[in-house]
Amino acid sequence: MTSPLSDEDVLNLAAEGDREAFGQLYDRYVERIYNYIYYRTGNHHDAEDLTARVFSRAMKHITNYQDRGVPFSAWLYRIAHNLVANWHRDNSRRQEMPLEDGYWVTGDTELPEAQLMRTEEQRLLLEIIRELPEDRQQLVILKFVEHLSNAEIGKIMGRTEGAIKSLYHRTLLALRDELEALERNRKRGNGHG
Amino acid sequence: MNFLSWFKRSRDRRVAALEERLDTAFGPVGPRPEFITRLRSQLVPPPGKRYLGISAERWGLGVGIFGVILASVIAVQSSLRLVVGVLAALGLVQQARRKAIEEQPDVPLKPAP
Repeated sequence: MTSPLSDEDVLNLAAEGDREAFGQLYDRYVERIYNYIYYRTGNHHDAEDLTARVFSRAMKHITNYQDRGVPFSAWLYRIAHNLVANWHRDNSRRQEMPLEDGYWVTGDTELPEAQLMRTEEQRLLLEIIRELPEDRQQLVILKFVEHLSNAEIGKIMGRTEGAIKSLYHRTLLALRDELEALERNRKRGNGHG
Repeated sequence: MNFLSWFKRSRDRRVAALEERLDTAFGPVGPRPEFITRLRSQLVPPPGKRYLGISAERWGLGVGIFGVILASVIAVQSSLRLVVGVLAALGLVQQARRKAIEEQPDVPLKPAP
């Protein structure tokens, strides 16, 4: 039994114009890119549209791709980030994640109450994450949705691992302060109601 | 110093609690399977049938180009035939008129007294 081709081998084939090889890369990364874009935009319709654009653009420029220390996945994330940034600029409105669009891959065994609590928690956290600058939003999503290391995030964002670690720490402190302020305000609001 | 270390520990605990919340809040959101399949087929069309080593797509393109050329040749040929036919018809009409004039009896220039 032959082992599956590595990203590098498949990438070389795709760069030579092998469409089926590009299809293999697509299979490996489409869900990750979709997840990233979904949490950046907040709705499935735009996530699908932007995901399609990411891979169309990648396919168009795959023959020009050169691994200058930037893995293919990092290249895809950069394309996704740029498209999302353009999307935010063009739309300049905040998308609330609708409760009914819960396409959870995990959670089939969760109770409905647990799912609802999880959704509310997610909505609260996304609310404060979307107040952050674009690069910090990207960092948080890559860290907690994609579970990437600081080194991997650094390659995507074009920064050193140390710079990412520092940015991460500052981002968490900012998020913590925002979250505590938001929760205090909500408690005060509930108290008056 | 004790207050500072307490403050630092408290801040680190709160940051750690936030990290834990972030870690558990976001799960993978699977895209629709139909979307995945449709996009893939748009990016990577399935290989079609091949005839004599040439793909069906290329055959179709070749037949289409040949059809256009053939139609153009027929159109040009038909146009030329039409022009020739019109000229021939004009020629026949001209010839008939000339013949009719030649066959007419001589008419005196002055009437008889």
